Amino acid sequence: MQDQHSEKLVEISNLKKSYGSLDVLKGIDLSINKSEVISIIGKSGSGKSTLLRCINGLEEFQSGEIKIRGQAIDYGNLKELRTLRQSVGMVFQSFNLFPAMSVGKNVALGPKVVRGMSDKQSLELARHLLDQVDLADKFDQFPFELSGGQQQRVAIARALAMSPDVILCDEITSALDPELVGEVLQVVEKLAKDGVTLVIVTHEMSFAHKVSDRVAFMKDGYIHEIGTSADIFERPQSAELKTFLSFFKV
Amino acid sequence: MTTFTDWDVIRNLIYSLPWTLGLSLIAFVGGGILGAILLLARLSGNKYVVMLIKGYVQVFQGTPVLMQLFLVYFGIALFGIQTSPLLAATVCYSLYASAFFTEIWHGSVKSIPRGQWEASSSLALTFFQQLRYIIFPVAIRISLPPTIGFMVQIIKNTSLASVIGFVELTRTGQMITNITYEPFFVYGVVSLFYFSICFPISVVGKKLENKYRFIQ
Repeated sequence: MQDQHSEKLVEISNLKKSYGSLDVLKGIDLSINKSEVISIIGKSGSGKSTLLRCINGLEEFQSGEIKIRGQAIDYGNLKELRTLRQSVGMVFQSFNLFPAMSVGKNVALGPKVVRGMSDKQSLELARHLLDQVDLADKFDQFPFELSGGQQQRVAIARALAMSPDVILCDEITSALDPELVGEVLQVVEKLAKDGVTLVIVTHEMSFAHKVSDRVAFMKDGYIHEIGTSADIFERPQSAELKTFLSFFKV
Repeated sequence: MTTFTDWDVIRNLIYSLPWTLGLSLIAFVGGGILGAILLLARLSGNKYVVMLIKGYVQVFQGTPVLMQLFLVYFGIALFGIQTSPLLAATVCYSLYASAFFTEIWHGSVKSIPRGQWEASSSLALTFFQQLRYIIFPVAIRISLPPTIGFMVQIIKNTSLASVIGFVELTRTGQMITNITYEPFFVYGVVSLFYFSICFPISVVGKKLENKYRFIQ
């Protein structure tokens, strides 16, 4: 499976991030290949979300380098950062839909304002993407009229609208009621099958097992263990990973 | 001796009404424009500009409007400029309103969850695109009730302009009272006039608040 993912989209080298004296990321090295699905697992506070936020430039980091398609990103340069964000989409735990806009306009905003599409084109694209997440009938509704699962599917469509190279999913089911988790995971699984490159921070172990090409286990700001989904879930090496997985029934 | 019928009292008060409304409008527009400029300057994040604006707001929020009127009225004259009550009231109420408007609107912008900024950043929007498409549409809805509430305050506070000789509703009431010696009736009518302006505005504010309560 790895052969078809030979093109490196994202390369992270020795990434370090701290909040004051608290070191959150202590030297992360990770490559993400095209059409690859990587899940990042680990206890709360291990640095999973911070890693995603650093990749997207939502958090400043103290040292290290992130390359997108071989190009090192200068995160201090706003123009370069915006270019990066066009190719790295993000879906958040709490959806973060824009409440004053209809669902259709939420999805159409990026293509219209950033990619320069006309109103008609951007709304057509939004309708198409909402159809992909089975929400075409919600086009004119407002976010507050939707369930959590539906809002998260809209957020996924909004990220897809920018045609990013990679989508970062930050605990996208953590804020959902259990009965709504499945509908969101189905959409993500479909994206994975369609060859969308995904980095997924999740506590849904069975989902990570099923959908991931590779899984990274983070502990105390390091990637403690990384391997194929089968390696991590069926043949864990370290005692720490075994202990962590013992809390879940996979 | 001139005698005033009830209708004469009401008629003269009606004549003065445009001055109260006009001064209020000047305060809304002047204060609104200046308040918006101050808001943008404050959002720029420059710490010296922010400190300066905070100081400006504190001065106007921490002193009575009456003192502000006196200071502007007599202060302008110190620069050798011929001061009219209209000019002094225009300057004073615009400055006063701008300090409150900028504070109300800044609070509304700051109340928008960080996730909205992050989501719009992650879509590669520029700072001004974020303000235009994401932040302001919500902040305006949040700020409508306090903005309208403050507009009502301004209308009522225009009555203080009478002390620098600006002839509006209250000042007209004073002059009529000096002639008729019927303060209760005259000030009763004056109050009714203020109420009939302010009450509908408050009702509209309440309706807008209910209309947008879900979109926040």
